[in-house]
Amino acid sequence: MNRQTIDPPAISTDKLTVCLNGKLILDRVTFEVEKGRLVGVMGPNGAGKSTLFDSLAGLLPSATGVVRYFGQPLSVARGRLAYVPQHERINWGMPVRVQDVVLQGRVRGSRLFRSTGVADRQASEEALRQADMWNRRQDLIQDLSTGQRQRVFLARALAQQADILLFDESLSGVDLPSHMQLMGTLRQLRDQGKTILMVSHDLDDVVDSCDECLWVNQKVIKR
Amino acid sequence: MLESLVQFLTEPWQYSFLVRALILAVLAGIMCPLLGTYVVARQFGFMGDALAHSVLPGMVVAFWLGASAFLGAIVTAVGMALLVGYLVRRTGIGADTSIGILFAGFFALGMILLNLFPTNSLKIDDILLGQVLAATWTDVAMAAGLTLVVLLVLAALHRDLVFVTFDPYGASVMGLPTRALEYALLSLLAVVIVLALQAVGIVLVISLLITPAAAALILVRHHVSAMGMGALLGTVAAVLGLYMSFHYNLPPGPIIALISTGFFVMAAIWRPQRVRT
Repeated sequence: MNRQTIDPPAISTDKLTVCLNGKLILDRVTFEVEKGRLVGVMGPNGAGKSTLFDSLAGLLPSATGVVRYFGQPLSVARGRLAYVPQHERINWGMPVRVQDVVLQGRVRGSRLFRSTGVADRQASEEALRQADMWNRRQDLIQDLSTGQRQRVFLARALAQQADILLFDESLSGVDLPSHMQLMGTLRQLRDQGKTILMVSHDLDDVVDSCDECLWVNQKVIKR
Repeated sequence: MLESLVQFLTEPWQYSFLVRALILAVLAGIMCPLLGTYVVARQFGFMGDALAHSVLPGMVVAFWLGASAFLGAIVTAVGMALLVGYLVRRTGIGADTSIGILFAGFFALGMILLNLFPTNSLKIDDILLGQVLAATWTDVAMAAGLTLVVLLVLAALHRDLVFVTFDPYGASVMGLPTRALEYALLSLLAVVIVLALQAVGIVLVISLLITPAAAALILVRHHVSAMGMGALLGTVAAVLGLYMSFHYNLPPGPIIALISTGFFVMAAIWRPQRVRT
């Protein structure tokens, strides 16, 4: 079949190489993820999982190689990509409400005197309900448990209406009910056609819930 | 009784120098906590202190050139703020280390310049502890203009500044110009610190910048509410400080700082109990 007649992969990297402070972290990484897949990203500590996510999210420049989203560069596809950062990357000293965090998903580039429109409110309400955080929307996010915070960031990604979700925060440290609820929501999103990459340290999670696994250790080996 | 109370309240404002001092101190009392909530959330207090100390060489040079010391202070503070960001990126050393190096260097340069070009109009005690009672109408007009500019920029960038303070990585992925926003915030901080210098001086500026904001964050917690509460506490500290300065012959800068500290102590004692659910 002619390649041009089928959809391009949701994510594709070609010989992606990333160095940090002169040290090679990712070496000519090449892989593809098709649309509507839930992918677990595993690997030993320091293997480059977060570096891979940073590179995919455009937070780190690559030394060589390319990353494409639905066949397009990040500059074109930026709005289709949602990113859930690691817990320690968030400034928990900044007191913001759950609803404000979810509305951050509606930000599109820089704009002065940014206001919240009807469509933004509707999208954030739907996202909060889907993540089961509607009743906590007025709470400060720092007052929530780890699992609830993860659900808020998931709601932010939903409000963004992104096609690809990068879940850099692993679900370790999340209580069991929240863990199961989050995994259930991720599977639902996968069934709706979203493409999800999530860092995981739990082999059971990956085996039970994910469609495939990327093993990261300088080079990505797809299983 | 009522007559003496009215006299206590109205007597200071018969003097135009005290009216000017009141306007200047209130502007500083409002603006410092507005920026201070960001400073506290980012644990950036050392940067605020360093910016205040860094203005000395700019003030001396500006005065020596016949320009406004106020303007010289702003240029130096903004320059220092940008230089810290550059140094961190260029050398990879920590922000605290960069701030410490530049803080000491700028302040030492200011002291040397003050020694080389002594003047009767620019006294180290006034710079260190403030000279709000000596404010001119030009100072007041300049402070009011700066206040308007800072309020306008803060309003224009508010949601983006909150986003980048809370989740800088997420903000970057969403396409926000995070570095430009960081520099904008530091520049606003520099301007507000200079605005407060005349009211409380280099040494005590931190008391208006972070103390009311920290007290407000204990009392109301949410960022926007804390900005409002902090501005209220800062204003009350400024007004009460000037009353006490007038009636009990106390230096205005230190008494404003002391009242501000008192508010923080009361907030810490009264701290509302919260339960995580």
